[in-house]
Amino acid sequence: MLKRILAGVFIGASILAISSFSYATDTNEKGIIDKTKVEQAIMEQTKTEETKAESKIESTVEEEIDISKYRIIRPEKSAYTIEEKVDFVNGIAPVDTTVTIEIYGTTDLTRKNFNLLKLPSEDDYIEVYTDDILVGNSGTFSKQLELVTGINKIIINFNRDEVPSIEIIIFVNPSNSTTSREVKRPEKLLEMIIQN
Amino acid sequence: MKERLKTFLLISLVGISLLLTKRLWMELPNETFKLFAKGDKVYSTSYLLSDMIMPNKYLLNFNEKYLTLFYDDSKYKLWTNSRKTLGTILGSKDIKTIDLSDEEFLQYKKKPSLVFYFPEKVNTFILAKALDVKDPSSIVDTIQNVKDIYIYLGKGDSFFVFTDGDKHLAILDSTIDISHLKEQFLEIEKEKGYNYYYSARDTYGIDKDIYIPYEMKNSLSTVYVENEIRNLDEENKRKIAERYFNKSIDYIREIVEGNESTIYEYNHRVLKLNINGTVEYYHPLEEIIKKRNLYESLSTSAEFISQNAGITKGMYLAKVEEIQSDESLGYNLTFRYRVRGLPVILGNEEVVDFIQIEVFNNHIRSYKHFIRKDINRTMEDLTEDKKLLTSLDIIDINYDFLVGEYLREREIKDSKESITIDQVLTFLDDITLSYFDPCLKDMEDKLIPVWVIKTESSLYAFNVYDGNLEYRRDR
Repeated sequence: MLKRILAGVFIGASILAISSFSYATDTNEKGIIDKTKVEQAIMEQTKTEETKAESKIESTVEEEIDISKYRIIRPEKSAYTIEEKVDFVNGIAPVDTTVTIEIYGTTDLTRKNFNLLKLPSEDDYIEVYTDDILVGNSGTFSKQLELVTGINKIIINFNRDEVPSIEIIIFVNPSNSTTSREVKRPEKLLEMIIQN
Repeated sequence: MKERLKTFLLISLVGISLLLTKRLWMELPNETFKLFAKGDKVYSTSYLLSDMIMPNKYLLNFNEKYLTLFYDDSKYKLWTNSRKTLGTILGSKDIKTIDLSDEEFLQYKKKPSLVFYFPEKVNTFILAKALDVKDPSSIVDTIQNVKDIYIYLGKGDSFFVFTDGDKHLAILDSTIDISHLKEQFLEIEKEKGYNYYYSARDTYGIDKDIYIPYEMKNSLSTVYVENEIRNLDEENKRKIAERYFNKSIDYIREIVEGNESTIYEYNHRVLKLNINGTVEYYHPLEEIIKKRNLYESLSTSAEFISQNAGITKGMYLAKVEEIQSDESLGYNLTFRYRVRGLPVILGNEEVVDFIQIEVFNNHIRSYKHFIRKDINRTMEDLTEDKKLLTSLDIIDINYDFLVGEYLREREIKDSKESITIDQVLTFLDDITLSYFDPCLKDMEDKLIPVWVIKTESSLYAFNVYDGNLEYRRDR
């Protein structure tokens, strides 16, 4: 009787053991793998989305800061002398950009005799006028500048934080008998003067 | 008694002879006067041709930075003042010629210079004849057609460049003095009353000679025109018929159509005065013309127009096409006209051009004339108090439309966004300030000032005040 009970218990235990093992193995392993896979997939998806989002943000940022799209074609020099009181600006910028052109002049009433080698200080400049140009669908803009005799400072601002404004110094010297000639000077010196 | 009779007969003979002599002398000057009265014939052919062959635009390049473009030469008369010099060049045997490459010519274009732009290519021989050159030099063979004439006005010796767009022939003649032209050029520069332009080639690097104004300072006159034919009474219409046939109305057959158009017929020649304002004349060929001659054909046309339509101020030769009718060879000549110095674009679907003539040397086969007369309303001759848009403003306003037209004409399937301003500007052949005649009213029809943009196959007229497309047609 005891033998039968023991055999029954053993068989029962083995059945139980075998069945539980197989169940446990199947369920748990698959579940773990699936879970991992899902988690991995979710993580990957999230990562991809994040990467995409990041790249989107990056590209947006890139677009915003693509300063090559904001350019002055003319004048090519940042400081030069002309005889006439008229000069011109041509440039390109993305559609709907507001380009602000500020023109500052100086008078030589103080007899400081400014020229390209002796530029006025910030206090010596007087605002002549400011103009806003809305860039049209062609992505180009142009402006005829009415200047004053002496040193004129032109500041072209694209109204974008990432895009630096451009400064041009034009010396209107009607007494200059020769045709408009540029004063050649070291770029570094020029940059220093403009910064000051 | 016999003696008395003899004396009486003698006195009678003297009286009769005096009477006849008087009639003779009274009539001869009358006849001469009548020739002048017909009038327009007294103008020489070269005079008529020189009026018909005139530039459309005048580019003054003071230096690389300051340049301007004129459409109306009435103020400075640069063409009139250059005609004699150009005539001398075209008749001179002491000239030196050099072919310039495209690059060389582009470099010279940046120097102080004056450029005459013709509306279409002009035959150089015809140009020489229009400038009253009796014996044209070898230039007419070296370069057969001229589109632009360039005159260098910088330091040193001046020279000329005749170009047809592909070939640029520089002509030097040290004996020619153009100091007067240089002085005038410098005076215009000093005056400063002009619009400043910039070159799209230099600014955007495109391979086209398109010039764009920075600002449009000047305003344009308001012009009203009227349909001359509709407003003519019967008597005036008959006078026109008598002029065309050179016969009294008693010999001319007159038919009035139901729509009030009138047809006159005389000896196989037909004249129709249409109610829509057109005059049509037809005279079938009487013999075969086997060899066409452009100069003879142009002279015949000029004389015909001057005799019948009178000298129409501002008329210019716009197109020359070779035609064939059965075995005869001839030309179809198109003339257009300018009002206050600006070309007029007709918005009439039935009539595209001002004058169209089919001419076979000395024979006018057909003639069609659309008369729209400037009524010169001096009281109302006010200029519009609105700012004129520049040609770049027009491009900006109509950019999407122009890009669409570019893609359509070039059969490109790219997206609109991929098209750049350089491509759009290269697509344009020409931009000119003009008047558009909508041809809507017979009386006091107001002309619309427009920027006319021409591409390879189309013509677009945009309103200079608001940029709206007023008219479009195939070229």
